[in-house]
Amino acid sequence: MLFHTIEFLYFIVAFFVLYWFIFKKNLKGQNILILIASYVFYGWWDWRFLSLIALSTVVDYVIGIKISKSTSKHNSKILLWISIIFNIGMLGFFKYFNFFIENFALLLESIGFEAHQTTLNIILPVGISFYTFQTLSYTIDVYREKIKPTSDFISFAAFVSFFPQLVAGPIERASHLLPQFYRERKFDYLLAVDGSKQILWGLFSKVVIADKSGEIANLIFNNSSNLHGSSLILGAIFFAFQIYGDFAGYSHIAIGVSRLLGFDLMQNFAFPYFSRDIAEFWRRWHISLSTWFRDYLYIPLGGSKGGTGLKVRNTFVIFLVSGFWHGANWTFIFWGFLNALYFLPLLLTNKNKTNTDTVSAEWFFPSFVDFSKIIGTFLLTCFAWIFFRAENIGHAFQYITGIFYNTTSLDPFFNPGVLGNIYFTLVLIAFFLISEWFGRHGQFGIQRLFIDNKRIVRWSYYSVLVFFIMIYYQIDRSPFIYFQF
Amino acid sequence: MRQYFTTVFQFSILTVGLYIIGIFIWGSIPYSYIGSNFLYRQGSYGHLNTRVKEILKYGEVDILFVGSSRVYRGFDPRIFENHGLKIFVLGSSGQTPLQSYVLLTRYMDNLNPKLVVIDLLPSSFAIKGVEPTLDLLANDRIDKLSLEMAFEQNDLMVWNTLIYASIMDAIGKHDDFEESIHKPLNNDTYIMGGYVHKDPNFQKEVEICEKEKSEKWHEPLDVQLAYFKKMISLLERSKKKFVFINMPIAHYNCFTNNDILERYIPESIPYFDFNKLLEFKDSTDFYDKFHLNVNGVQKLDSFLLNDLSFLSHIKTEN
Repeated sequence: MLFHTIEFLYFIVAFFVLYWFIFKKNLKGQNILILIASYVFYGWWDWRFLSLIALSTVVDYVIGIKISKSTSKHNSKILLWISIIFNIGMLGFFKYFNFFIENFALLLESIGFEAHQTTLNIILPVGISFYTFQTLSYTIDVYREKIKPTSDFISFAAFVSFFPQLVAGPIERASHLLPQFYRERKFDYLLAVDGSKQILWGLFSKVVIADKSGEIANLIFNNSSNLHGSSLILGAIFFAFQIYGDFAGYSHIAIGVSRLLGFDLMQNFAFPYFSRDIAEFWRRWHISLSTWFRDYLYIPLGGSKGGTGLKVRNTFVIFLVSGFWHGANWTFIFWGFLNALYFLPLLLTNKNKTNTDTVSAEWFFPSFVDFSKIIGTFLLTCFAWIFFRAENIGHAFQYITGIFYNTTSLDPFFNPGVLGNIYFTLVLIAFFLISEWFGRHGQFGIQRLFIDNKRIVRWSYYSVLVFFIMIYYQIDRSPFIYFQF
Repeated sequence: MRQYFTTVFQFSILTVGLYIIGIFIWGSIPYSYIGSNFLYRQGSYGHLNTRVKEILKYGEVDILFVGSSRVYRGFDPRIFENHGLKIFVLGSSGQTPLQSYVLLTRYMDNLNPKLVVIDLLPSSFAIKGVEPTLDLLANDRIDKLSLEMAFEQNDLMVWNTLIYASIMDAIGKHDDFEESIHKPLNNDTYIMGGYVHKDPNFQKEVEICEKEKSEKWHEPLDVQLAYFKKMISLLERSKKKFVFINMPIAHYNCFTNNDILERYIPESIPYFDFNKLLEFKDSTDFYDKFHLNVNGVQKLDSFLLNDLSFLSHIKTEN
């Protein structure tokens, strides 16, 4: 069930009524309702996936309790490793089995052995990369004694399967989200309005920016061998906005829906394309994943303490794993590798924590220096996105080579209709960026935009967003990109 | 909670108002239809704009032909006129039973035909028909039937186009458009009586049917079958004689289920499948897979004018 469909609209309206009117002062009832609704939501994709999430829930619930009751650190560690192996094993099987088989076979063939491949027709369960990490964070935090385990199975199961963030994040920490299932939830007008605005911004990001950019990006990437360099540059830029609008859009809708239900989820995107360097970009892009890797992989490995060799190793590990998390393809690994190369100079020169404030916070427009840095960082990320989007490594390098072949003009391949579409989309992206720029002090683009103006001004602006969503909403809707992860 | 719902309600009212204004502005922007849920194109493929304006001045007819482009490219009023018969071709591009019903409801009384001939194209029963609805919204009148079409299709593009067309109609701009009779880019010329004449020199490659490449027509949609039945009821209520036809197509033998619609035709209503009644040659009688060229039109119309079983449904003056 996609967020931007009529089925989800019916679902959320029905849920909202039951949640706030029928189970109004019944916390346990609300949690049960969340659990049932989440399983209905998830089962809508494929009911067979339910057994996996149920299993993951039961295993980590039991392990959490057993860890806390264990009197021996050694036994606690064993239990933790069971949880890790189970969750990573499940993720590894469904996501990476065929990748390892195929590449192992290639490796054997390269050294002269004949390999008979047995790949399986494995369907990747939607959201598995997200909820396995979420439940792992629970068992790890219990082990570290950061949180106490819960004996409330319903709350825990609801936490694992919480439908707004189940299939594409944000990846929540148990310490942040789980306690919200124990607290009575009151309908808060300001939180609901904020949530509604965030849903609107998420829909605009996805339906207008992501899908419109995606039409052109797909056209260019699918025909890249026939296009001139300027077209290929345009393709990379459009993909940058496709993936941002798509992924951030989903997160905004997830967070907005949660706010309507009285829940607070973590911010997942903080205007990453206004970053002044790569380190800042990674503090603003997919925050829930990058902080997960920081807390559960990078820091246990030693983090940035220790010598240069350790720092380099840990940086590469984090970015390569992060790339691999996105999918079983060498393109994602290379994308991670490239980002590690971008990040290392900043880390080694201790400049990775210089830009931590809001860019040009006191100014209406960015300064020339900030603007240059923003453009430079954006171009670096666009270059890396080529690997993220390409079909395979060969395609990525062919694409990059093509950029330098001819940069003089757009292709005659683009008929007037396509050109018109490109211009319209560029205008929409400009509108989007301007809105984000003037709203960059908030948690999302329109949270604080026009906040000091009269209501009619704000509402007129929101109506413009609604208009564009309705004008560009496609019946043959494209799924969210991050669902494939 | 009440405050939230009040806010949402007030916002919705404002948004609806601004949305309507937005649609009007959007329609005024050139090429705004590209990639958007909006398509108000007057003077599109099938000369519908000219056709419906002509009806009001055309007077009564002997035969009214109803259907898609197969029909308005298949029956030449000049050939029938030479035999003392006045015809009108009431069709639009990609027309489905839904639009056929709407057009008949609007114009049958004006034309008062002795015989109504309705083409049954299987593929027109298997599609929603959004494009022909858009054609009608942009090029025909706006009335409650327009709203009925919009509700049936429940498509954003249709709704947005209807809003725009309604505004244009309200401000008196909807009927201002003057369509060119001759469209050189399409090699088309509109002939009075609803026929669209294709330049004889225009020819696309017509696939010769090979049995190995067999296809099937898709099953009809419930909505189209419902409007097909409504059309029959309308004709029966108006006590009009009517027959069904299946226009010739170039690769008829490629389809394994050409009779897919026959089970929906009431037995009492005559049905003429021209693919079986006449021999058409793919290479010489068609300019593309679905449309007769000048030779094909001559062949078909002459056949009709000499076919006693068909002519028995109308009184001729000869």
